[in-house]
Amino acid sequence: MGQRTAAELFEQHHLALFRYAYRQTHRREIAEDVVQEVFVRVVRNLDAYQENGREVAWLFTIARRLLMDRKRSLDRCPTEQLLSEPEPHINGSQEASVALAEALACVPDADREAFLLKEIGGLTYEEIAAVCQVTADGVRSRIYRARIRLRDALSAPMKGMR
Amino acid sequence: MNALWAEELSRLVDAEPVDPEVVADALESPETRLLFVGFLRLRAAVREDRYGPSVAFHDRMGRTLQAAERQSTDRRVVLRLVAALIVTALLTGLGVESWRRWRDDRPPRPNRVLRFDASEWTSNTTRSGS
Repeated sequence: MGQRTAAELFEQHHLALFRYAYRQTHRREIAEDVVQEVFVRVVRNLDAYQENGREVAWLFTIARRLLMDRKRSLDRCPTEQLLSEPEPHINGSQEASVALAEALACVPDADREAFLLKEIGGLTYEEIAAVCQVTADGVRSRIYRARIRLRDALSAPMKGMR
Repeated sequence: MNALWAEELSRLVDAEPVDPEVVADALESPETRLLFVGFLRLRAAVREDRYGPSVAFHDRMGRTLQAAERQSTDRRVVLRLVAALIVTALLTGLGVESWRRWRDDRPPRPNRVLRFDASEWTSNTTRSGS
């Protein structure tokens, strides 16, 4: 496979990256900023990137670092923290999406992150382990714990959807 | 609920390697089967998520990517020019040094020429014994 352009990578991965960032922050503008910054960095470093067919792990690693930076700056700035309340979903038909957001908010950060990298990013346990700098066994446990919590939290709405 | 079974089913949902015996045991239990279905429903719920970035974001990204790629191309051109200049300077230095050495190793240019005629080699001296 030849070297891919940033535009091609954007086309393929921006939605997953946006959903990952959005589910972590509950803020559309932050999620959009993060995705934008990811691809600016991709353009700058595409030449240096050793292509191994799994650029998705590289993209999510950048996104994760940016989200961590954002979180740190929010922690330092309490006024901005106040503004970072979950934005209301305008579309009333997105009840399931709201329920999912609420359920995800109950999951510890590390577990939620591993779960989202798996479900939204489609990364393997090894890739998630590399992104989060933990072991693959640790990833397995985190995803499992997240699933149990989410299933319990969502069981009532999901039964309603059947 | 058996945590080992539940964790194995979680791996199965992720298409990771599992122990078939453990999965078989797990699926014997109605409670664990329900859990498995719950995991699958959860996956469906996450993947049904249609939330995406705004139209304005796409416009912005188009401009941002173009600008960033142009900037990156410019930087690459500058870097290549700098590299070419460095190589040229090195080659020039090497050439000058080689030329200097070649010049130093040459025999010096004669600044006067002594010419001997054949007649000058005839000697008038006579042997003492003769």
